[in-house]
Amino acid sequence: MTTAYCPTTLSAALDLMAQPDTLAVAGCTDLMVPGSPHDSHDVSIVDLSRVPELLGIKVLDGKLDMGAGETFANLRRHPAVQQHLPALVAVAATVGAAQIQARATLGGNIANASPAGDSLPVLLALDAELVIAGRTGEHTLPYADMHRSYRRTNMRTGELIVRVRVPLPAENSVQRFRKVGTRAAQAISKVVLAFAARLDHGQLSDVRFAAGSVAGTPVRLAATEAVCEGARLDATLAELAGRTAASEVTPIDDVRSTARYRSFVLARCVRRMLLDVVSSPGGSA
Amino acid sequence: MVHPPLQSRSRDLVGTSPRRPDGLDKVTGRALFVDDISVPGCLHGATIRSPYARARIVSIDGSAALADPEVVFVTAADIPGPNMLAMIENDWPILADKLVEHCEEPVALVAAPTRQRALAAAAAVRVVYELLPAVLDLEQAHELYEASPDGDSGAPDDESPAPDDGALRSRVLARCDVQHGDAEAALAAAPHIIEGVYRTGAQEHIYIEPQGVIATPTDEGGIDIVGSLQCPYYVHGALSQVFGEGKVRVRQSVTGGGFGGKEDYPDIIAAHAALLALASGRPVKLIYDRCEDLRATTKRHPARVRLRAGVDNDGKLLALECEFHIDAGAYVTLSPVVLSRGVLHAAGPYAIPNVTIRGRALATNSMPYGAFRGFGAPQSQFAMERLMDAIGRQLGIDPFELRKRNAYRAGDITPTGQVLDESTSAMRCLEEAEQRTGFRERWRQNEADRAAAHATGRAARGIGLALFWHGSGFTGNGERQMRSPVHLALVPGGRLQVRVSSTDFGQGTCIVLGQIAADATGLPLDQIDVVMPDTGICPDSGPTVASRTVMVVGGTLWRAGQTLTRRLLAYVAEREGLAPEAVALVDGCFVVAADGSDDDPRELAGWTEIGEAYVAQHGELLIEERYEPDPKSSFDEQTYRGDAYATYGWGAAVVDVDVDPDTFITTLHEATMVVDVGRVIHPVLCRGQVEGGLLQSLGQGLLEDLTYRDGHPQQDRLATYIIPTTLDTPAMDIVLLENPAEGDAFGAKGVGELPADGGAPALVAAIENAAGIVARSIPATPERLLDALIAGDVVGSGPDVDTTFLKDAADTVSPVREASAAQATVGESSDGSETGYLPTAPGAPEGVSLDLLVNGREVGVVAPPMARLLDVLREDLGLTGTKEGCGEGECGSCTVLLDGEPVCSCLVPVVQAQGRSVLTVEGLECDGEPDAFQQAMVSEGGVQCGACTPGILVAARALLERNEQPDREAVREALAGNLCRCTGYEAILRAMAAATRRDGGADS
Repeated sequence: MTTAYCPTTLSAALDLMAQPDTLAVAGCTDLMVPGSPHDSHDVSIVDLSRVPELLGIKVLDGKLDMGAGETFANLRRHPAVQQHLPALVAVAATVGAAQIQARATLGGNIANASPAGDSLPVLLALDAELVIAGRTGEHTLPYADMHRSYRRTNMRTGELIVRVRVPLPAENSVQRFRKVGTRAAQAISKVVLAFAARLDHGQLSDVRFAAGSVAGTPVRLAATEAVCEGARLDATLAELAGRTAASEVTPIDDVRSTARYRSFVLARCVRRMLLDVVSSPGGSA
Repeated sequence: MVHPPLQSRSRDLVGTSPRRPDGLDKVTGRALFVDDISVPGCLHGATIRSPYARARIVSIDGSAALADPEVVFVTAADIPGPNMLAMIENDWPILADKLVEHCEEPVALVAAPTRQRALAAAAAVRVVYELLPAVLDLEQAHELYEASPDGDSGAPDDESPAPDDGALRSRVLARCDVQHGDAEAALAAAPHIIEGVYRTGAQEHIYIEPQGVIATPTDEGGIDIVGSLQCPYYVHGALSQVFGEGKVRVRQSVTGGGFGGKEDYPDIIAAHAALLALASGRPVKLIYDRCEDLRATTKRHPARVRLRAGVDNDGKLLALECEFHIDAGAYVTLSPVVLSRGVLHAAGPYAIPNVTIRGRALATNSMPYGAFRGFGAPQSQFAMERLMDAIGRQLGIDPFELRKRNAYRAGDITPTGQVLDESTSAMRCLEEAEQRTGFRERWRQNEADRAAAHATGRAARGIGLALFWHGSGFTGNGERQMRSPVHLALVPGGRLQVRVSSTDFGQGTCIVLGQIAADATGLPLDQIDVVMPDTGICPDSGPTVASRTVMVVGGTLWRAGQTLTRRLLAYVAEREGLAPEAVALVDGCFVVAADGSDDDPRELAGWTEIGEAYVAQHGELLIEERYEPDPKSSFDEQTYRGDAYATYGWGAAVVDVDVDPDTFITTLHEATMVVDVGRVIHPVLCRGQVEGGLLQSLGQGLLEDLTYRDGHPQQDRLATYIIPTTLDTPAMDIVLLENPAEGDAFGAKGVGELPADGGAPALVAAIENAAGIVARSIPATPERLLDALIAGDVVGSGPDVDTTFLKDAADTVSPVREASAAQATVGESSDGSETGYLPTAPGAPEGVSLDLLVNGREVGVVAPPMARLLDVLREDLGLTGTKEGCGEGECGSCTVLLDGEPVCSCLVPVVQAQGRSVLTVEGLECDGEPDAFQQAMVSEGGVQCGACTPGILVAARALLERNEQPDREAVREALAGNLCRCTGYEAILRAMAAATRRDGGADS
């Protein structure tokens, strides 16, 4: 029989995680699906749903500090997230439907490391950092350094994601999010795209584009960012950025979509986001 | 009404919407679906299936499975009778013997005391296969057919199963030709020729309750079947051939949706369960999970339709040539009748003087395709409606005008030579739809605005129109030959029992047949029981298919009610010493008939009193009536000439969409459907049939993609087979017209299938109007629209969307798959582990002690910590109201509240519920009374089959606790995680609106 532990403090959870063959679980929305990559009976389960250090949302040192165990339902409803990170609110609303949002957690979405994870491109574009705890202490990891390869992360065995911190957007910043899914709700993404930048007098800086479901991990679109960085935002730039985005990813055909469509839609959505910023820089996510 | 009633009452029930009698059980979780039935001592079955599309079975070794001493193992060698299920042809094996002809074909069976042990045993069975080349899809079958079409070889097509010589050959499993006038000559003379090839894909039913049966051996050596099924006598017939006449009894359990999917496949599941039950001597439960159901059971036939029309300068159709090919799958099953219905509807509701239609059902190595709402007609009419749009574009005639010029009028002649009567409503439906929506002007405006919309980059609006018809009841002489009986019985207590084999799997026939019996006899509804179909009690009134229940069975029931009433009137007259004509039945009371004076008629006795007295004196009064076909109509099955259907339903659909210029995602705004159903018996349920059928058709047109890899369906989960959620569903405007048909059923025509013909073509036409992209195959997914754009399938110059940057844009888009390698290889498969049916939670009997607060009550359970909360609720606590629809958090049927939050209980390890509060559907009632939403779900028709209902109710409770008066959008969002396949969601939204009205949700 699988053993399950239900620690009620972070240190107890970390002690348990130090044992061999343990698997930390939170909302279990992926774990409990038959055939999931974690569908193994040979591990001990460490249930994080009762660890208080993984909860809470607050503004701290110019950053929005969110517990990794917070559910997407809570993120959607929280006034501070609504105020500062409209793109994260927008993405939270697209993670499954109510039943999944009530269970799935931000930390779980990150640790599960699916290339289709809805929130991951937003965290990349918003330059998030992770607070990661192990038995020997805590350290921070830029989220951009988190994903190593398909479903592999740079966390070490026994570590847990404790907090997710996102810098509060600077003045004149813009952020956009778009999920292209299999249907209007309760959908898995075909392409997820997030964008954040500063816009001063028509000029872009601090440009970050991130995309999901177009590679083995969520990726930053470096070439697209380079094209936009310091550039004057206009329709010509939008066209160029879109084409650049399509040229720098090599998506695949799978059961949900085609490589061709993913490239097309990525290009079109990059273009559209920039055009929208031209016409409505203060617009919402 | 066609016949004057023998009784009179102040208010007829036909035409009103009384509450369905099964509604309360369905909203409280008390309704028992097959998996909810507790069978002490039963075994659980599991099926070993072929992983290959075509292969020779070299050996089957069950010894490892039998290491568990309680495991029962069955192969084809253990079948007592013929290894065939009786259908149209006797070619469908119960278990593959020497050859497998499709992926997932059943090869062997196991049963064990728990489902986990059965699955483990199934995984231990070793089957060695020698692979053979296979025909993997319709395109490949079509190519083979083209290479040796009918007659070219000088020999008829081989219709026997292919010899296992490794060669691929074309096999035609059914053919159906219709010839009317001289299409060839008329095409040669026509001023305009417009042609096209259109494709529709496989579509899965997604009844929310997966298939399942329980088989119990009887003391007399027979077998009792209870299960989720549409056609008890199909199962009875199929099993009687295997196990012997008089040995089989079949009962229907509450059935969570069917749509045709539970027409034929329950035969095979019941046969499997029966084999295991006989082998073990114990009851056997065989329940499919969603994945197995998606992989193994039947689907809508994929179709390839080539059309060629000759048209005059005014757009009048002069001639039509149609080649209608469907993928039959590996065995004949129902394909001949699906083909026939497809052929008979292929010319659409249009008067065409010269028509040639050639229908072929081609064999492939796919699971046999089967019945799905519409039964071939949605496929062929999709193609015809697309061709009509192409004709209109070529001639510059708008879609409304073109249809108006060609639509059938009374007196027109169909391709089989049937003269259409006064109940022909194509024009009425078309004009009503135009009036309702202003289609024509909006279509023109969208055409004019398209370029500008593309230039601004905003989503372009589009509107599409479809006109359609659907024959009611069996094709041709089906009803005439069957003359199906119904029984109406007066039983002790003075109650009436309606005994028919027509099943209710959501439609509401349990109330509709009651209404008809009530109006025929004058008895109140609550004195009438429509019994659950049971071959031990009910006559074979035919299968529940072909939209025939109300028109054929209901009409016959009306006559039975009349006969019974006549008998009671005579009985009363004799008892009172009166002349028979001196007694009348008024408002449920036997009276001395009014003699013309102003005095009130003298009351003799109430209905129930007379009924009781009759039964006390004479015993049960059983009336049998049989369907009486119209003696004036006839059909020649050989030439396919004559009256193909007793009557037709008619419809027009208008769909309003926008198409995003960046993603090609189509958003449905509004769908209008005008249907003539002859007579509306129960307005709430009738509307529900149209809304539900419409949404299935829209899903078929837009979302529901089923593709295959090496013969395996790739979309074998609800995470990948995509059906519409609330948020994908447009607002619906349904208009029910009544242009009565001849016959006994108050003029009613079929309603079940009709709406399935109209949604998809109207939707795809709307996409064309919005985006300028022409979709010739469905579903019109964004990927297919992009492919069509790149292939140049556009209106005019098409949308101004650059695709040249795409690396592969120069590639041709070909749906044709390469044939599989011809050389045989030997493969070995251990089923189960490869096919992913293994459960997530371990099956160890031990567990941990947990305390939960379930529906306000503290309960202790011992369960493995990672056991699904769903299983603990259902199996340990007996709370079977919570349903499993998919087992992976996609459908929401298992929704419960965990500390007030809606969650899918299939995704919650029970250890996480320790110490927490759980609310299930059983806990929704307050002081034993259903809440306002539960009540409204019944009265507004939000409940049909009832399988999604518990999850909907619980998710709605979570919403209402945050928002007492949610608007429509809030309800749609809150219920987006709950899939419903019956209602089209509209009735659920109406129920919520009714329940949260400020007046407290008083009943409407």
